[in-house]
Amino acid sequence: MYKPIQFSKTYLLGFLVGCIFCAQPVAAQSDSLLQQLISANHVDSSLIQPPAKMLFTQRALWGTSGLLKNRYGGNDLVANRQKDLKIRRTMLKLHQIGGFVTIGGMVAQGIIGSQLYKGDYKVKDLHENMGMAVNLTYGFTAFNGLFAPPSAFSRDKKITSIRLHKWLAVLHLSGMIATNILATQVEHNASLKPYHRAAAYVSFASLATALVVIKF
Amino acid sequence: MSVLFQAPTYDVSSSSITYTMKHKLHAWDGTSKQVNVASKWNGDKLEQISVLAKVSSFNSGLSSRDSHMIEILDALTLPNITFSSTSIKYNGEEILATGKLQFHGVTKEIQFVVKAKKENNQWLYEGEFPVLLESYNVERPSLLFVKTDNMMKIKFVLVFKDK
Repeated sequence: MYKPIQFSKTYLLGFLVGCIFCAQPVAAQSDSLLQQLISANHVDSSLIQPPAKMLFTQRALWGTSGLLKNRYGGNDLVANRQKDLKIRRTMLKLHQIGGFVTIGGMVAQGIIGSQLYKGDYKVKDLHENMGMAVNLTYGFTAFNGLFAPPSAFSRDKKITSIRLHKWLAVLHLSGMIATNILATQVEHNASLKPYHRAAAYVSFASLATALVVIKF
Repeated sequence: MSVLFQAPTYDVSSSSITYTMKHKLHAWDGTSKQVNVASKWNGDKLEQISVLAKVSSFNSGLSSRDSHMIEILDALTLPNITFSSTSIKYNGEEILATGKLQFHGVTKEIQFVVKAKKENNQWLYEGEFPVLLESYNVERPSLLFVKTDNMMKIKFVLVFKDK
């Protein structure tokens, strides 16, 4: 006759405790291995401080003696640096958006400018207003690029896309300054028109290239 | 670089971990050569392993991009990426490894195949596994308003050299 096996409560309890003790060692040893690694690896102190190398515009604001040296009031260096990097990210996003808007404005200005160059003086006011708008968006873009908090690292030794982007910035900034100065002179000296146009083209080409070379 | 809990003693300084990320415009890698390993052996067989790499140790060749990674991965408060094995099953030269991956403060169990081989006086353990950024609460970085792919590939080469 079939007789079911009967386990006493003590037997069942002993079995469960046995199971738990058998399962524990693997997990516990694994955690212990990891724990030893973690205890020896805390945050890099180098990340908390901004890098030694930064643009002079960044140093003026975010450097240890910069205008914003006491920016957050608190003494939590990690939290402060986190805020810096968050601001940096936002400013670089605005820098990207501003760059696109400026390029769009430059294309429109190029079309309007070429009509004016051909003698269609009806668009003169529009050309001037568009010039003002491009200057404003360019200034906004430049501000966000030049005054963003410095990155966490400065360890690139070779030519990188960022370095090219910066070199091209020198070129388009010079081009923008020249374009604006020549624009004020053209009214009195029409022979400067080709130079004004050439400076504008250089600004456009270098800004467009700077936009293309940049990578995430 | 540190090695703990191992018998016999191995040098793991040639080990590396590489991530690969993709964007519509390009793909890039970042490699860490500062891999911290703690392992337990049974003779020639690896029985348990824990690996730690600092987020800041990954170099993609572009400081700005690495800095961006520090920011999106909150590396100032969550500085480490760790893996700790819970099971290692041998099948010839292949190993099925199961363990806990902690990334961006989120821990998930993962499983992947590792190829093991002995060359001269060193053991090589190679493998790769995918990581879905959003499942670890990572906000995907973007370029030109387009986000990177959600999947990041992690490739590792752990080298255990006889000392």
